[in-house]
Amino acid sequence: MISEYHRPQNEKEALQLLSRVAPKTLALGGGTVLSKTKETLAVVDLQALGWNRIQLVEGQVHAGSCITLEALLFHFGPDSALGRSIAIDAGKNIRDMATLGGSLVSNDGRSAFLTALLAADIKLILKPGDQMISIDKWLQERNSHKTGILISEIRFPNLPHIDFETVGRSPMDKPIICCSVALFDANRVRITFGGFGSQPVLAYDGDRRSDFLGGVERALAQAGDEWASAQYRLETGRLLAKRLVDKAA
Amino acid sequence: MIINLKINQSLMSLEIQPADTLLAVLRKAGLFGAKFGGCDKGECGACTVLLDGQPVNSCSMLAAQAEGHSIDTIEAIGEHPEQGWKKTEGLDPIQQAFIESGAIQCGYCTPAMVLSSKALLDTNTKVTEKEIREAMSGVLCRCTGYQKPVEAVKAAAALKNGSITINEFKDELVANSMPQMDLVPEAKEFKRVGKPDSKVDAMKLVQGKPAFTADVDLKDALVARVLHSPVAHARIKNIDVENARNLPGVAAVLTYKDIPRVIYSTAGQSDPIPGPLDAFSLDNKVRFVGDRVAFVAAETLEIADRALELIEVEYEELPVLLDSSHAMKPGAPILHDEPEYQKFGESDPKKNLAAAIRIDIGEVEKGFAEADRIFEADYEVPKVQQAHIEPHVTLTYWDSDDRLVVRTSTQVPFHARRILAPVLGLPIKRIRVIKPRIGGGFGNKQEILIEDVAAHLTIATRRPVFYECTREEEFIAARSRHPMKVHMKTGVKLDGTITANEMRVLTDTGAYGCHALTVTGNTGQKAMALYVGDGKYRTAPNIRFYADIVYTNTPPAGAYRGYGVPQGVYPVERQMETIARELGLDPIEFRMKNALRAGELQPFSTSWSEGREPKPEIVHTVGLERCVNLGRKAIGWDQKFKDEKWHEVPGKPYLRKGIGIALAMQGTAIPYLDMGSASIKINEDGSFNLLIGATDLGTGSDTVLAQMAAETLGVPTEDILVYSSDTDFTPFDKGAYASSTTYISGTAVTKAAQQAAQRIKTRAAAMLSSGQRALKAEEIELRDRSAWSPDGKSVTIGEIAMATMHHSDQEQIMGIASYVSPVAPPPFAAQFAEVTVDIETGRLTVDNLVMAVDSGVVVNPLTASGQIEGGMVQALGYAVSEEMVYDEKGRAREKDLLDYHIFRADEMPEMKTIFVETFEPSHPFGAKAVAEIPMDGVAPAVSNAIQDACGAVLHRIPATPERILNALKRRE
Repeated sequence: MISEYHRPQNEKEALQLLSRVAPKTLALGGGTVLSKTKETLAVVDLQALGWNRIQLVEGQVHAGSCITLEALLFHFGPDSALGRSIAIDAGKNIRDMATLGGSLVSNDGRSAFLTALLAADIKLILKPGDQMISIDKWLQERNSHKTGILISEIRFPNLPHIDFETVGRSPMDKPIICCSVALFDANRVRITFGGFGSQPVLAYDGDRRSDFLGGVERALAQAGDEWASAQYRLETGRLLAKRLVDKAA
Repeated sequence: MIINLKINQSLMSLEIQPADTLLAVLRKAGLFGAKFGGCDKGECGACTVLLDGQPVNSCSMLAAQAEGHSIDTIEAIGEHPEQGWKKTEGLDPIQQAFIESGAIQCGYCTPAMVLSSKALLDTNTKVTEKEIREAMSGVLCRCTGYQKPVEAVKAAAALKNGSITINEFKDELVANSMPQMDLVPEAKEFKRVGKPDSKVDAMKLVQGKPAFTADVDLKDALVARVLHSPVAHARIKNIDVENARNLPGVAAVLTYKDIPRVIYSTAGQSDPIPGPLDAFSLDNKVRFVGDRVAFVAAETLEIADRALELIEVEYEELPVLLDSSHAMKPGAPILHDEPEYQKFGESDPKKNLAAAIRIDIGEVEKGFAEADRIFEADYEVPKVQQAHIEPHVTLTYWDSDDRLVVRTSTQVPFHARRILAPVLGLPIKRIRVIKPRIGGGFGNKQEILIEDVAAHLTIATRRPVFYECTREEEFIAARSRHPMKVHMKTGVKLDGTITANEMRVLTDTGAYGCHALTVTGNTGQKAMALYVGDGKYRTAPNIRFYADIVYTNTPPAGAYRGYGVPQGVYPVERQMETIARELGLDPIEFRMKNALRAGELQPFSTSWSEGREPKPEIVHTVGLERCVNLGRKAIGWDQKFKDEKWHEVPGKPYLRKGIGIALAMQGTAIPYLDMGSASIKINEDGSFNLLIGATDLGTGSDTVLAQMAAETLGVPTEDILVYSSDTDFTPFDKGAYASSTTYISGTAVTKAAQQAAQRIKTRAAAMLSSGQRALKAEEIELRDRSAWSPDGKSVTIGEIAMATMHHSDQEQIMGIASYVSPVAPPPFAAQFAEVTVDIETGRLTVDNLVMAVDSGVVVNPLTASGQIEGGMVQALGYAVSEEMVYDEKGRAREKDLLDYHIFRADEMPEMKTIFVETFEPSHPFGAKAVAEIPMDGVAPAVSNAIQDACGAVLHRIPATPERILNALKRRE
């Protein structure tokens, strides 16, 4: 249950509030997750910080962490890989509320969008200090709750190609398995999978002409849960990866 | 904290708590247009408001977040154009379009859809259908299938962008929303029956008026919460509620020790309940994860939740029974060992047997012996949830006469009153049940599910108590469709003649036997009756239907639209497909060769009548052949089915297309049992009050009943003011179930209207008689709001009303009637499906659904086609995505509408509805039922289409990608 609500007007004030040890204080993006919490929390609403802009910097998309998913979908286009993955994660209303930063904090392995972000190898800018970290590192460390940290910006590399496929029970269902493949230059590909677990997995990051299927198999060997068997995910994952890599080529 | 919110262009200063959601604050401020869908992740969108012009979920946003933004609710969008002497700007074109196109069913999500559409059209009026569907993707609708709402927005956009005029607006809407109609001659003569009249409740629903159970000022009411069991099977060894009771703000905590131990059934059915009595309001034993342990009433929801945490329960856990196959085995855990248990029929709690059915029609073994081939297979159909968007919700309070008022979202107000009385220790006369509008029910509200909780707490505290379920409670503690394991055995001659057909069913009723017997009885009675065989078997079919309905430690199943028939149609239609393919027969010709025809006996009518004495019944109207012919033409069956090229997708060798069919037969009410009644009285202006006990749960039944009254009285439908239902004021009706309202209640309404019409004609005859000749009532015709003599003279019905009330021989012209039918004429349907299968991943896309339905004469083609469209989408979920699964401890996998995926607006297949009319002679206007039959055929038609696409033979639904892929491997 939310015990305190704060709407700081600047970054410094926000970081001060988030540095408190007690009461437990968390950053509030769109509110889609924290507004329902049963835990006693103070929340720091980031909407006044102006981190909801998107701009092109040397061919790279730099997006404020408070930009809504709907704005991102509009930017990338509904038929793009990122756009499609966003639409699968949420209908219009939630997209109008949920933020990019919030998705990075709270989405789990069944998130199509987080799977695509992982493939895109985005970078996060953390406050204070403007430290830039990879999404790989962020996902590894995000569960160790650290006070006084904020994601201010996300940088999308200038990708020649990114694609995404999902298998669910219906076209807009949560993925049972989804795969995203990003091509970074002539040959470097990143292959990620989602649809299970606490976060999406990076199966391969390397030359597309090498044997990426080994990485796929390692990523999916233990991917069974109540929604699908590991065997199914492994077989389907191989196919999806191969299809998308072939398409990228 | 104090915040300032700009709501509907007015600045409001509000004192709130930091945890208050925007939805809670809006509703506290009296803005009830944003609805609560019970969800925890904002998945349903019923609470939509516009924030700075964009749709957001007010349940998932803190009120404090909204400060500094502009909030628009449905209340600011439009209003009735005439408020007495004050004229307004009227409704927004989107609202008007929703009304005219039949886009409103229960209306619970309508404000949300209107607002989402408004946000879209405010920025762009030249929109594509895809954009409309994406704009609506945040709002789940369980009633409409989104088809008519999308058409409504298209027309509103066209009006706004000037591509149509206001004069073309209504025609455009009706033309695009109407189903294909194949009319019978009789229907062409009707003035109101058969016409696409607007729903009588549409105006209030489209404005988000406070029409639903929860839309009342609750400032004095306590809030109820229920402690649900975390274990699947246990005795409560000890329960300590002292800490909870001592929590400030807690008004009452009740356990099994505090209330009378009264055995009853929660099933909302006629007396005597055709099933075991095996439930208590609270018991010292829990039988599933989610079962009731204690009730709490507190000043706020937060205090009530905290009190639940303070209740200490010591459980003595018992062995758990989750697999229905083990229920009757020796040594299985016994769920019902309470001495109060009351059996019905074959029920035997010592065997975990809630009910059993053994029906043999003809000489089944002889029939098998006469067959050239015997086909046997096992099928499995899942437990699924009704997923109505308005959760179960009840408000109880003592009125000034010390009578208990139960304002509740129920399909069965009269059954609720009768069943609650002994449970609460009150005589029936001291209970009044009021049913406001219902935000969907689909059978789940044919249950006395939560009314007793609030009522016990009102009795304990003497205060009003409000109880509204969460979405999680709907999944873990409400009802669902019975899952079944089905064995089919069919004898067939090589020419395709069915010689005998057998179905053996094992039904899992969960922890309690509500609807256990009757749901499964329907499985056989409808699904197994369709195929009687050909030749000599047509008059002497051989059919066997055996069923055991057993208890397990899972949430109880209950009534769900279709009521057992979808569970039976799936195995029967898969079996028919297999036989046709194995014998090299055309699947349509094979089905039609063996299907029931007009003039034949409903084979089960001599063997089954929902636990009562059966009586033989001839089926007089069967439009199945025309359904098949029009449906196959609409979907292009003849161009696709045998064309190998059509099954391929150019450039994508891993995709295969397929087409499938299934036939279905449902029922129309329960003969000799279901009773509906109506009273109607004239007002001084020639309008009429129609009072009915029938419960419109969003289906449009109030509207079709009004149309039948209007037809009889010669007035427009808008002159019939419908009130339903209140046990104090409206006559008895058994309630909304068994597809009976149009047929049973409609006949009662027509009879009541005929009585009133007769009096009007008598008075008109006197008023119109001249000196030379006294007219007789029989010579008077009622039409166009007037009574007409044969020579063309007329007097208005308003003038007649005024004369009879004020001028001479004063009387109140009125009629009252009730009706019970001796027959249950079945509707029929041909369901077609077209799919694309990814044969490498098992991914399935359903591309097209066509349903051709014989529902007799269609009273309102807009509302009826809305039933078909919405039903097909629910059935599509049954086919591909919906399933309730439990772990080894009986804990639910699905607790929200994300994991339990119901279709969104932006992922729908194409859909088409065709009505093939027949004139059912047992109904005054030739009508049969329409509401349930769309649930039946989609799942088997989709599975048949999958088989057609790639050879994957499925015997189990939903057809998930992994199941499809495994079936493909089995084929290899």
